[in-house]
Amino acid sequence: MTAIAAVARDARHAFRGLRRAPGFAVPTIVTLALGIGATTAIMSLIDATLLTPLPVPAADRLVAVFGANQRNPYRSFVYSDYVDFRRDATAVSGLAAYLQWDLPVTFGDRTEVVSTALASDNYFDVVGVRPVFGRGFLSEEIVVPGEVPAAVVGWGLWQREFGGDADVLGKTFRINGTTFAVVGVAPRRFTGLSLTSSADLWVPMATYPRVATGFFASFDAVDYTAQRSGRRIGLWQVVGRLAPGVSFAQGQTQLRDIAQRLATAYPETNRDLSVTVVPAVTAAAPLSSRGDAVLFLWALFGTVGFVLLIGAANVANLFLSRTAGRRRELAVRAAVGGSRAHLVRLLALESLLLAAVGGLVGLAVAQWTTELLGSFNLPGGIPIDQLDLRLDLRVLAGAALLSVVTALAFGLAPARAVGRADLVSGLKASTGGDERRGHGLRLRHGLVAGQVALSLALLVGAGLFARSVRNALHVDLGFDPERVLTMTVDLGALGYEEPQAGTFYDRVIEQAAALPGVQAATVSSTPFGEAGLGVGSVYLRGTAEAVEVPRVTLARVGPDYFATLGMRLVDGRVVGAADRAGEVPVAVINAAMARRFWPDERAIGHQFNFAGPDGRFFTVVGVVGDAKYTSVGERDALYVYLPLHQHLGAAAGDAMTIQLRTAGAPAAMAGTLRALVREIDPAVPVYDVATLNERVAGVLMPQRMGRALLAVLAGLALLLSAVGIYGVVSYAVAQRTREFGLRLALGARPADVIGLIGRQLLWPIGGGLFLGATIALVGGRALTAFLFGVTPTDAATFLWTTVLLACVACLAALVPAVRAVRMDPMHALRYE
Amino acid sequence: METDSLIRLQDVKKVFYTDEVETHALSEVHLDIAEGEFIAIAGPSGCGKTTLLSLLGLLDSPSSGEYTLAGESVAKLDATQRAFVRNRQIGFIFQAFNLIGDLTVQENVELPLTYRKMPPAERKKRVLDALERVGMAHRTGHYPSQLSGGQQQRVAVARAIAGKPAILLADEPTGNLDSKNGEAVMQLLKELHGEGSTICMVTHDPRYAENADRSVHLFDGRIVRDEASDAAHELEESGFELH
Repeated sequence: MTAIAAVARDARHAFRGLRRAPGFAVPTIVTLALGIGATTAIMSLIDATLLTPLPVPAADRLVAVFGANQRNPYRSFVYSDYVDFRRDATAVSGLAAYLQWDLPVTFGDRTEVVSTALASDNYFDVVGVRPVFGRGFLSEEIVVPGEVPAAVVGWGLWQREFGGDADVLGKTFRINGTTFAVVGVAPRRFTGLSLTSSADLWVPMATYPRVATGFFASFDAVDYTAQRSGRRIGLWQVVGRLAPGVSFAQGQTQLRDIAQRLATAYPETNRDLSVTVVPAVTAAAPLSSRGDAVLFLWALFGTVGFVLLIGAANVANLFLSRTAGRRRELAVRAAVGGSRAHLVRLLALESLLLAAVGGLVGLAVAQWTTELLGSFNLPGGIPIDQLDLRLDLRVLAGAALLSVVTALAFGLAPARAVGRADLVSGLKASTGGDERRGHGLRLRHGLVAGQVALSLALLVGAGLFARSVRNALHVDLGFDPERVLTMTVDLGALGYEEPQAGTFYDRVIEQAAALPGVQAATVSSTPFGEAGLGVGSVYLRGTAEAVEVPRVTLARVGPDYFATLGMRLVDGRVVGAADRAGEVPVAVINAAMARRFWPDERAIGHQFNFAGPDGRFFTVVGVVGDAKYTSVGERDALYVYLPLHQHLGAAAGDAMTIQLRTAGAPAAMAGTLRALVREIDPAVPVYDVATLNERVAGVLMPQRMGRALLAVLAGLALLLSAVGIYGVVSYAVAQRTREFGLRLALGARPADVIGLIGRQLLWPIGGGLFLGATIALVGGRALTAFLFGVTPTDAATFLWTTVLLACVACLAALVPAVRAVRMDPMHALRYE
Repeated sequence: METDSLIRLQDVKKVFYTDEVETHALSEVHLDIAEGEFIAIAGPSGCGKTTLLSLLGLLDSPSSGEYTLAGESVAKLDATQRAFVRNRQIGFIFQAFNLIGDLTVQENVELPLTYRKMPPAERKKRVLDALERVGMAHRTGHYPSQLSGGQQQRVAVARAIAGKPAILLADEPTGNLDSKNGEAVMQLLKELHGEGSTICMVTHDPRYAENADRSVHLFDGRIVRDEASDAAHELEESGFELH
């Protein structure tokens, strides 16, 4: 017989054997599939976020370059610095600049907000991306924009707005009144260099003056003369490709040298300014929160790894049970001439068959898990659904290999037993012989202890996240998020002048407030969850030197803002309808700001500004209670509320958020409000419609994701552990059925026998709980950054999760134990 | 040295070690089995009958002594070589039948042949021949659980003879059968012996031992009597309790 025919026959037998043993095959396949699937999905997420986040050629040769001073190591570049670096840097083969914004783009008569990158002429060359249709930017487009500037559309936008039409080249659209013509289509996977915001459109940086609106339109960010005219506000992100043969360190050194030369040449603007160079793949996630994202992802991976290990222990336990039940069959095969190689082949085929089916089902689980992950954001606001999240075949292969190794390691155990010349006992074996005192049972108990330990660690983690979310949902936000609808409008592209914008907002607020079911209406520049405009220097009236602070956030708010949001007035008055242009510039500050600058006196009446002694000062007219602005965990954030009508110059071009407090469900008002805005001006783009509660929930995404994923994974771990314990106890009971029958026949009470079984599990479960608590104590520290209002050593969490796991373990053990004592003793005594 | 013995044991000992206890299962066993002989091994429980059969079947190794099968010493064969010898030279019949539940009757009988490089056609012919020989050719597609005990043992006999081994080793082949089925299996063994098969059978039933040419009686791991089987009943009368 040929070897192939022999393998085919063994495979057939293995398949049939597994089909006839669903109690073994199904849990094994399910366990393998869950372990492989979950690990693959999470590793794919890690790969897409941290390892290979940029779908560009030789991504490891791309470097992100930031300006750096003592306060901020990740500053954006001013244009003239970029020009100087681009001219002088030979360590890079190219240095590109870009700036990514959400801009209202008008296609025909419809306006859509599109994430748009203003990019230098060499952007696509430096990044290494070749448009699938058409071309990138030409060098002349940087200096002399044509009458119709060029644009490269992203794959998504091409599909959405142009129907994937191959004749898209030359088609036009408008941004802020300027017409652009499509010259290329970006590849499907390329959405820019940021994980937090996918670019869907690229236009030349030279068009900045045409597309910039609001605050950003007030200065020229593209200074072609590169004359350093005192501009200090940098906007440009810079990315370079290391020249061939140049190491990262060499590139970094040269760029720092250039920064030093510029600091000497332009001390007024560049003094103390250096550069920070980081791999572009690292900078793809926001550097300020990258640490959190990294920690979160690896914690997630560790969690999935725990589940995989628990699954492996389960597979091992299942195989050990099957091994015990197959001793006689294998001994017979050996007795009739099957060599160890024959037996290994049969068992290996069985294991591989299981691993293959488990792997295939795992693939489906991975796909499903990946889709599930798409509804979450990572720390740092990285939307998972915008990542290039594809099942990583390397990871799949790795997880499958682990499963195969586990299956083979334990699946081949019977062949080892046969090799130990215990054929005679094997031929006499009934349910597998008595291993009660043997190595097998110790191993099985060890596996149960491991499962219990890892399950408890996961349960504690899930418990801590659950408490964090609960605490966060009950924290005093400083405003009332119930029954508030938010909707963003953007007048930037419509060419509104100040009076027109003021009229627009007045009409919207007035008409919205009059809607049935609306209790109050207002507008603001910075809704909850958005960072808004911030400054770091505050000048107090009468002092020449600025007070440096980490950040003061400026929000422009309409009348009734505080009433609409339900914020508490601490002192003075709130912004009112009378605070209009031409009146005394006023400001309402939060209590933290008052404490920071006027700790021992009333803040009311004091004056401050951000522009210096010669600038216009704001008079503090009110102090409101501290609130949460961008996250529920922030503390002592400094906040200044400026009347909208005194700052319409910027608001006319900026996006503003309308906010309604409603009597009923706020989401139900969305259509009405949208219609109202359309009625006033149908051209105004409307987006980001959400209730305030949804915005609050959005900033709790990492905690919610942690809670959801850990709850699922911990539940899975609990289930697997219960199955493992059940399997061990069932097996132990089967081994000792005759003994239990004898004990019962001799007068033992059922409780005595159950106690006997229970005592056997005391050590593995008790030891597992102790070990699990230790792992949770040590590992919980890694979660500190994501916990809110609860410590990683929270006693209550440890207690209830331990009790929960102990109860589940007892239940899993009790079922087969009770079954054993209900058996007729005579039946048990005859049991083979 | 005689050269016509199919099996020769010389001064074979088997010692089992469990914890600190040393159990001498077999001591100073000398045994010759000639080709074509039908030998019964009898003795009280724990006397070493099954251990002796396990040694003969290469399921276990002697602690000391020499074991020659068909003129070849088998004491120092490795596991693979022992499997080869078991497959080619020895056919087993067990008290508990030991058919594999996941395999059909045909596959069970075919099992030892699959470990040989035998063309499928020949394999199939041998299987059918063996099943016809035991009267089970009509049940090839059945699984063991669908057969009676007597039928299962007949299939086990077919499996043992399908490979045309040098010797059949039967360990209490009627032990799990009622008297009618037991008689049928014994009749089958007698017929096989009549056709020239060498058979070595462990039995505690003197009626079945009488079917053998010769009875070897063990006591405390030693052969205490080796005689023609017609004297077996006298042994029972002399006080041996046969189990």
